[in-house]
Amino acid sequence: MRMLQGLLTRVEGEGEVVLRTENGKMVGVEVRISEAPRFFEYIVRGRRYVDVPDLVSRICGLCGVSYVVTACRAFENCFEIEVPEYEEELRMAVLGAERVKSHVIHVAYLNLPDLIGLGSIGELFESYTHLFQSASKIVLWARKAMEILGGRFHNVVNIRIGGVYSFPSSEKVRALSRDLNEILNDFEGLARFVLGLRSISEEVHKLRYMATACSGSYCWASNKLVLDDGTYFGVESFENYVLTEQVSYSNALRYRLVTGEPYLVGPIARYNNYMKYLREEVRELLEEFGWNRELRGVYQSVVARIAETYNTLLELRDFLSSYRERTVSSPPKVSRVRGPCVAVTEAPRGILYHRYLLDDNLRVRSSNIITPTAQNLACMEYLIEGKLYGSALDSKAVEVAKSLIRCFDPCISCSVHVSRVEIPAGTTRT
Amino acid sequence: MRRAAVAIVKLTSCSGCINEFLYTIASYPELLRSVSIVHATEFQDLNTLEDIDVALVEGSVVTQHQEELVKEVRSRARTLIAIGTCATFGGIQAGRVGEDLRKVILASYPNPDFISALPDVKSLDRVVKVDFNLSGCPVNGDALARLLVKVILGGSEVPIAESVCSECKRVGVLCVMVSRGVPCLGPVTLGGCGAICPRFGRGCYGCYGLNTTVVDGERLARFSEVLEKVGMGRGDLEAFLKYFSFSALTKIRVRE
Ligand code: SF4
Ligand code: SF4
Ligand code: SF4
Repeated sequence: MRMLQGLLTRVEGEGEVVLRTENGKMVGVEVRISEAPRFFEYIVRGRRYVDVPDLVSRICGLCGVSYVVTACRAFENCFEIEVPEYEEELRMAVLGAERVKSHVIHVAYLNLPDLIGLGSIGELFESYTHLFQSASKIVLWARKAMEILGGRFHNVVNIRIGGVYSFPSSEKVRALSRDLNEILNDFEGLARFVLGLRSISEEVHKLRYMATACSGSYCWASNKLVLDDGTYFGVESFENYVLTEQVSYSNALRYRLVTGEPYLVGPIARYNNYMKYLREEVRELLEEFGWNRELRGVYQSVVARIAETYNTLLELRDFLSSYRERTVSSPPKVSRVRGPCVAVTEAPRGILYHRYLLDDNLRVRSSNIITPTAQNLACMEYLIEGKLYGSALDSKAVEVAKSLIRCFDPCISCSVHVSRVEIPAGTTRT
Repeated sequence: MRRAAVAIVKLTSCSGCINEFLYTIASYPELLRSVSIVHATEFQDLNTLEDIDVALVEGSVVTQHQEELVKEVRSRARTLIAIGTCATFGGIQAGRVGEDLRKVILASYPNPDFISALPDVKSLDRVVKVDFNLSGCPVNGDALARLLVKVILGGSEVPIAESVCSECKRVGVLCVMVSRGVPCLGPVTLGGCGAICPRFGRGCYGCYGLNTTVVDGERLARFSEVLEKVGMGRGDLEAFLKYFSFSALTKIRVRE
């Protein structure tokens, strides 16, 4: 297990953070994404809309289900397709299992070492073996859940436009449900440990933020969005609310609000909007540790991840324990497309936006996919600059930049790979 | 017994195959005792890279830098295994090969001048000698774990010649194409997934790549006619083959 732990912190593509200095003082930061682009917007061109979900799933090995679900929802929106309730529940369960996996990996393997602050990951592992074992058990359970409900751990095959392809057998689901009780115990241990840490920083980050908008529930998918100041808008006008920018040093596009301000998406944005809709058990646990309040800065996103994971596990428990095999609906018949096909879904790291324009033969003419990490890039630079501007660039500063970036849980392949801070000689102008 | 040094290398890909591998070995503690993992995601890491017993390489080669990286890895690795369809066939990113590069870039980026890209997307075997090709998008983690054990023990390759259809028969799945007229690429696709899609009541779209040991241009052309009758046109078949079987297409063409 020790090895796994070491690896996960290092499975990454190519990206780096460059801290620029003048006379030894930090004057700027560049989050550079050098991962070779895969040009998905071009690849889906000319394809039948029904094939798109399986293609975009390949964008990301960490949150592929979010891609599949978002693409399906985009076409369901423009074709006005109703998804039968039980099929939607099954899809949301697969999405939930992916979220559990993603959050637990981040909390246990990437964030915890920062929070506990022991010298090396090895040391951390020796001292907290049981925690890592719990984390690994939870992730392996989520993997099993994705396999049973979705077909496999990556590029799930069971989600289609209009619903699912089939309902897995009750017998398999029962086994999953049985194991979940133990997993919940493991998770509670991990959650209590993390929420009780005194090292979660109270540093305040004044940031704009955006999340999907639901009324009366913790929001994972919706056709509305909301900004921190209460501005609501429909997903069809999302692109009017953000500016796209491209910088020469990065292969990932980045986004700001039309005012030019960076904005945050992800756990904090969701938590601060919807914490009152978390389940009672979750709120009680948070209260016990004094976390039933608005989160102040990105260092506290770990609290939101714990809360969201717990809530999701409880929802999965209800779903699995009342599960019944059903007959699937027949694939929707469509003829006319009403406007662009757009949707947003909350991927683990924040809102994922898809827009497709179809031609008369219902093939993709153009598309736009905006990933959560790409939206968070401007925030990363803003926070690092705010914290380090003018200060001496020593190894401590580098650590600060690294740990800030890790709080965003930057996604591996969709847009960015950042977890290494480097100061190339050529960029230090003294 | 000395633990085998296994290196994981990522090229252009989604990390899905590497994740499959990590979680498979996490569920086989015995395997953990016989391997030690070194990692090389970036070129700089190679300076510290020792000799490798087995290199697992995910992703296709799309930059000069990756080409050098993978050659370097090859020179240090006793055995090199290409994992996943990106590494074995080129992967979905090969879908843009042969198109006007500027148009390709413009579809994703407002300013094409900031982006550099090469026209080609190469599977590993076009760059270095590959000892084992284990395709799949993603690769089957269990199959990879079994292969790894075998390689560590000194086994040799048994080429897979099975198609997804054989797996359907084995697990007793009703053929979706025969029973419901759903287009399915299973007959021409490499087995290894356990017929996941037919088991879920849908057609295979070929993510393990073309089974070139049994399919030639002639057969593919005839198969394409069958697919056309159940509603998948030649253009769509060709697109799927480009995404999941790109490097095989230089050898096989769907004949007119
Ligand atoms: S083969 Fe598929 S799952 Fe594996 S890296 Fe490539 S795109 Fe990802
Ligand atoms: S469902 Fe597809 S893979 Fe299975 S037997 Fe039929 S054609 Fe072959
Ligand atoms: S059935 Fe075909 S598309 Fe589905 S997982 Fe297997 S090889 Fe891939």
